[in-house]
Amino acid sequence: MNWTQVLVAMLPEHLLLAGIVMLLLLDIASDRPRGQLAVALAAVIAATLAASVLAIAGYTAEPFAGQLSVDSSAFAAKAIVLVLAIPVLLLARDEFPDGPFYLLLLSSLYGASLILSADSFLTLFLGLELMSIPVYTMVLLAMRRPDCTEAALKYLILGGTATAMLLMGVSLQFGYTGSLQLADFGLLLDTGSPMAQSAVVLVLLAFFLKAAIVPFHTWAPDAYEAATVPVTGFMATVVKAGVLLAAVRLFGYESLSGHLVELLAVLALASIVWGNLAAIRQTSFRRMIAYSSIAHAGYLFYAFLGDGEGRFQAVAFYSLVYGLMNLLAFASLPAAGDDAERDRLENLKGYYQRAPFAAVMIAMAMFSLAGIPPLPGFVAKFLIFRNVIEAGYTLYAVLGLVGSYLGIYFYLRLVVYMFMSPAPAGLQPQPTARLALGATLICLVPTIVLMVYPGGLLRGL
Amino acid sequence: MGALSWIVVLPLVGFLVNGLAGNRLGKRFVSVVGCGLPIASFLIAAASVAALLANDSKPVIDVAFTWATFGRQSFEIAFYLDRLSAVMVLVVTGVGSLIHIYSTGYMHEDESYARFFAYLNLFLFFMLLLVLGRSMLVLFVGWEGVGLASYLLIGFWFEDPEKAAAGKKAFITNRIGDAGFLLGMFLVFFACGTLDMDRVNAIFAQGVPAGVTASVIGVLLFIGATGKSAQIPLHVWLPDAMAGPTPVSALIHAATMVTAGVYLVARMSGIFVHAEFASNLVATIGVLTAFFAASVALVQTDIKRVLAYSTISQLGFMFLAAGVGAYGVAIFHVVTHAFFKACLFLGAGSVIHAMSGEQDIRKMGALAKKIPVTFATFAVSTAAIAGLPPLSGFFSKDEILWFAYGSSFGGAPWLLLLASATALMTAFYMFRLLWLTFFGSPRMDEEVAHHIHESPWSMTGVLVVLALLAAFGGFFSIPHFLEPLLPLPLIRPEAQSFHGPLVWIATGLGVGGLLLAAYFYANDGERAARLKPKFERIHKLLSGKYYIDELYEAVLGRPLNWISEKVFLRIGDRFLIDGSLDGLAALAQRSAKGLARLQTGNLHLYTFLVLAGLVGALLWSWRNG
Amino acid sequence: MADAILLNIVLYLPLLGIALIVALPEGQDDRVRHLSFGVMLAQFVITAMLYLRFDPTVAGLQAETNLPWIADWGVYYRIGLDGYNVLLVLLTAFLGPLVVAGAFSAIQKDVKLFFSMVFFIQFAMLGTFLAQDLLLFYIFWETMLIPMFLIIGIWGGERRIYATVKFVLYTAFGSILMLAALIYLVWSQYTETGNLSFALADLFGTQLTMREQGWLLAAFALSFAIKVPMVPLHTWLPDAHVEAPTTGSVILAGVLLKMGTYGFIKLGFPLFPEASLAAMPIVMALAVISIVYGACLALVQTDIKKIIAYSSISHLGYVMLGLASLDLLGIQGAIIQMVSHGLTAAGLFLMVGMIYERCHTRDLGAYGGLAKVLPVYSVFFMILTLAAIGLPTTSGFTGEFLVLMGAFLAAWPQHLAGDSVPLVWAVIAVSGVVLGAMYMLWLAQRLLYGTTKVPHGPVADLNRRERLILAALLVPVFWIGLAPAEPMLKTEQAALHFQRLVAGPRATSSGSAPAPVVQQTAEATR
Repeated sequence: MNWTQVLVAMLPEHLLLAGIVMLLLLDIASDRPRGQLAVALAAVIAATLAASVLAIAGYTAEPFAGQLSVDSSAFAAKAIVLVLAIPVLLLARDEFPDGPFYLLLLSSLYGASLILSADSFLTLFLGLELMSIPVYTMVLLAMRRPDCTEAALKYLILGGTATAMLLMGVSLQFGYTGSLQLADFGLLLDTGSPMAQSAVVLVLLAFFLKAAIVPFHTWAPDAYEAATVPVTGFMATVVKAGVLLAAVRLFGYESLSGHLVELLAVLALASIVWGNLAAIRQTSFRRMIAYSSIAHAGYLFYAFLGDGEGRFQAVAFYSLVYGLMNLLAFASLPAAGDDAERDRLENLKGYYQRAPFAAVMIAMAMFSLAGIPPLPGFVAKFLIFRNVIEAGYTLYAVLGLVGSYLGIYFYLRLVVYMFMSPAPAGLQPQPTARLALGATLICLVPTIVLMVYPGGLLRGL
Repeated sequence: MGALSWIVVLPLVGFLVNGLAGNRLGKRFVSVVGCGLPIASFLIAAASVAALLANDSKPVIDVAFTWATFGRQSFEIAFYLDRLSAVMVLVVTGVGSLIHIYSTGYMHEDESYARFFAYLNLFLFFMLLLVLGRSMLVLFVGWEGVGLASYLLIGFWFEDPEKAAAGKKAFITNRIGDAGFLLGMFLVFFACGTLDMDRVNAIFAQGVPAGVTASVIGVLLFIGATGKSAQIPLHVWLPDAMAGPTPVSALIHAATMVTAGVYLVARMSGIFVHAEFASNLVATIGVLTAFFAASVALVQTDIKRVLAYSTISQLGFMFLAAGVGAYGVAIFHVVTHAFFKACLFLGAGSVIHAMSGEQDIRKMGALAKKIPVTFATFAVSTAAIAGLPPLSGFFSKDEILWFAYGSSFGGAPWLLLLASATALMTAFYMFRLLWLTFFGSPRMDEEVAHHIHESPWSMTGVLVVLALLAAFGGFFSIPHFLEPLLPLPLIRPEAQSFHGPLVWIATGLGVGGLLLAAYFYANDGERAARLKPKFERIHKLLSGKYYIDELYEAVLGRPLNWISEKVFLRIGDRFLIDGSLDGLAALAQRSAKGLARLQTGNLHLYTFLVLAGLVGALLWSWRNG
Repeated sequence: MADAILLNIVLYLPLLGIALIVALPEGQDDRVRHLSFGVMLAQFVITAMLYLRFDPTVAGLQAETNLPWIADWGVYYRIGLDGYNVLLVLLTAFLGPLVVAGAFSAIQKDVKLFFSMVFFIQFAMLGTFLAQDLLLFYIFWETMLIPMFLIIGIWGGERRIYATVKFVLYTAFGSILMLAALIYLVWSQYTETGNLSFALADLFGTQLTMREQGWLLAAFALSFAIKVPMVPLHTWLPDAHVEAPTTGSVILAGVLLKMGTYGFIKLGFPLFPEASLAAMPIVMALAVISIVYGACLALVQTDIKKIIAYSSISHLGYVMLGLASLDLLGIQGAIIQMVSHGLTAAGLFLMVGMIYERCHTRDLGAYGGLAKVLPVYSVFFMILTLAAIGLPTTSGFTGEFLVLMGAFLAAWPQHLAGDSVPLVWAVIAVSGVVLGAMYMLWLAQRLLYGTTKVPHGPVADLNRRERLILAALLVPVFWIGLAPAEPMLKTEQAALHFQRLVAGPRATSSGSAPAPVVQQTAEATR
């Protein structure tokens, strides 16, 4: 085992770990610790930079043979997950001036980056849990309303089911192939045996549940609504990206076939339609975002219909853009005192009059999520459906696009509220916090870059 | 840009000057421009015609510019002067100028004096395009343009919705004809690959090109002609067009524009000589229109409407001539008609002027002494239109009757019969008009009677000139003049002998009409009044103009609106299209509600869904796995 | 090269405009207005230069820019001028300043945002016309939705939100399927040639089975037909027009609808020639139905804007008819008709806006006899009306005449060959000129003539700004009416290209009609 390799290959993780340790020390040092945000921010930024640099450098290594290996795409994936965490942290300041939030976030991130370089199910499982468990707590932490606990509990239980399915699937694979290597998972895809099939299906469903694909999505709306903005943002962007990218790593470039395709397409399509329809009549912003995230999970898994490098490219690009857009919207929300109040869509009526810039930002995010060019959301969507069509599933592609069409309406509805409706009585313009503004800019700049020249990033992926 | 272009352009200049700056420049200036430029183009026209004749009638072609090119083809804006267009251009500019001069007197009190002259000049411009255009395209531009001018001038006093509506009616009726014209034009282009009418005639002179039949083209063009020249079934607009100022009625709706259809047929004679069927149609429609309109004119009481129907009737005569291949004769009648009908209308204008706006002949009478000049000229023209020798009308009408019967190209006894009956009625209603207006006892009220006065010289002078033309215009035999261009048809052998008698018949018809009118309408037409109850029905039918307007309204107007409103708008747009779309939207909303309701927050339900999904997925994957 | 740079400047000036007016401090609305006008004017001047420098004899692209954009999938930033778009680009740039000037007094709320959106849509429309890469075209095509959505939704009338959402959902549905279609097209071209490229030039002549062509054409055509709009996909238009602010209507009628017809002539038909050739009877039928249907509906409206909206449906029917005729004259006429309708409809909507600003109603019943009190207004309105009904010497005539002639010249030989259906359609289409005169003159009569009725009167006649706008608008109207030779020359290569691609061997062009025999006989007569 080569220590420098270990050091370099897992540099992002190490940096996160350093951050975690620092936070712990701070915690011990004083009972009213300060600057946790700064530490966490520093750690995440450092990790992001490390990941990106290594990705660009194309560093490849296998520090723990058979368990963990890295290459440029793994680093790229990590970079994406990590960069999304930065705005989340900035948003968190108003919600969590102190407390264990940052600790949890960092450890969750640690788990996320771990799964993105996992080679065996052991590592994968470890990372997955490490990523998820802190999130349950984070939902709880956002103790604004009694239903937080309930939501957290549901999330926990269903998350547990996911774990169970994953374990079941893994053990089936072990029984069938005698190995826990992700590489061997690919072998199962082609074999016709029911055992192998069930292994694949169970693992897939576990990912479906984590990514909130119909009918395993039910936890999402409650959890998203209950948690406060930063936590919701974290779940909707970082966790989702982590899960999806992990799935890509799991399925590799293998092209799926037979029942699996049908399963994937049908459930993904179902969540596209379901999510987009259910979002139409929501009155809570976060709940709406939850349903939209269900729909987007559907698009993301659509990418798995296509095979080859296109799959990773599509998922990576999509989760980045999708995350940026969500966070852009979250960051630009009016900073009302009461959380439930802040969450009501009604509050956005006449928002342009109160906060033009923020309104324009949210509008951009919505148009982008709706997939209307020139915003990057379109290119992302284009990428996915291009893969699907190229893989020969034209019909699925058309259905998916029609499904995405259903989504346009509720995104527009938000713009209508902000620009075309008179403001509800008794609302004073609250300036969004400076850090939130920072978060906005952090999301805005890459958005514009991706809008003007998506080719650049895509060549990298 | 040669002389011909100038003939056309000068009136346009007048239009622009008077239209843009007229109100600021004062009436005197407006009159100078408005009359000067038409006179100028008349002089140029006269010179060009002289040059034409001097150059043994070699057609003059003056290409202004190329309108459009495509592939190897191109549409040129070019003007063409041969004997036919020479006659027309002289009439248009000549009579046109006279009427301009007349208008300076007639419209003197009107506050939109400048606008009036602008419109008149605009009309002249388009009319000259029409008669001088070498290509059917240019002709069509003029064709539509005169329609526009007439639309604007009929609705000149637009505050009165009646008048505005009349203008619209005229335009739209014309448009119907134009649709036919367009199709005919396309067909000509398909056949000849050009729209230059001299070329087209030349090509048809070598036989009908492949792929088309002359009669189809002929009929389509004639549809256009019926619109412009108010022939059945598109005649309905002309009587209403009398809403315009009287000089307009004289210039546009008597002397020039309405004869454009005749000119078109004559100009396109190269096609019509091959179009047996089309020509017969032209003759038939012509004679029927002539008869029908004359019969309506018998009972009209509005001085201008009588003249309007007489115009329609006379146009019918012209088409009759054209239909039997006597194009030169048709043009001959166009010219003589231009003289006497212009004179009649202007005379009527003078009468109305004197009667301070009254147009109902039942409220006139005994004007002969009060406005002698008007009376004299009016009488001469009446005699002319009635066809009393040796006035101009006699010659042209006599020739028409002759060819209607004798032409080997569709001439027939029944045409002669109807035509003669019409001629009789013409004489009758015209003298009726004369009597009721100028003789008998004054029937107007004191107020009006007090104001009766002869018109200014600018008007009477014009009347005199026109009267002279109406009287002696017939001695210049236009058919002969046009013979090299438009040869007259051969005479059926069995008809040869009939020419002598016909002259007497024609004369007899005129005199007969005169005597009848004199009999019935002496002493304020009390004999006619006694006669009326006996023919109640017919009288109603005639004064109702055969209820053709009402018919159109019922058969075309209302159904069109009904289908648009009820079927297209209600059923089509609102119900079928938007209805189904709204339905889809509602469906989406409903399902949205349903799905949202499914999210109860009940953990058991959630877990059940998960398990169901799990089992389902597994079973699916096991299917014949 | 220089031209290419100029063209890019033209395309991006609107964005510069947005930057400038956003940079202006709040509460300087007048400066915003004048600045916007200046930028638009500059854009028009440059475009006019490009137009004059455009070489009509060249068949291909001119002033071309071609840079890798998303190179991995063969998406290039490729823009340029050709016969297809040169007139439309000129039209768009020409209307720009007029639109801005027309909105000076009408728009008082959120002025900055408004003019930004006007610039934004100007950018999107120019991009759509200029794009020579399928994906680029699609992106611009869709981008247009955002500003239009806001323009109608923010500054519109009472039912503006319904109208604007309807507009977006209508249009978006078409384009969704077009996206799938274009990906499929590119992919099959790639699998065929091994060269992954979205460049239109590469995509023409892609080998596809008839069935594939049919589906793809349907997808493209749906989205274009909605934009045109062709009956029965037109119901968004009246609502959008009625609810939109004047500017919105002007942009819609002036340029936006042309994107649909442009899509057909530039992409829809040429990309799938066999299928198009097979579908032409249907297209022709729908075109003629649109002509008549639109006209009939215009007859029974009482809202001035609705009348003009439905008249647009009718007029664009002529464009489609011209394209469907596949006759050189018809195609040329279609292009001219696009421009002509852009001018007249824009002008009429501007004038409706002007009267609405004064009298605050669009209900025709409330008006009457304006000619008495607003003489200047009435003269302009009359001229535009006559142009709209295609009176000779105006652009409307040139367009309609050429289209109808083309349709007829294409239909007659088929009639001789035994298939009279096209002829019937052509004849019905000709009847459209009557209907057109009916509803437009009916409108003019009720508005201008009769006893004077002026809501909220007395009102002032047009001011200098308004007169200048309309006068400027009339220049091209008469230019195209009196001497269309020049613009037609610029588009001829494109028309021939289109004809060659779609009609292929069957190209029986009236332009190449046998002339020699005519020539000599003509000489004989001289």
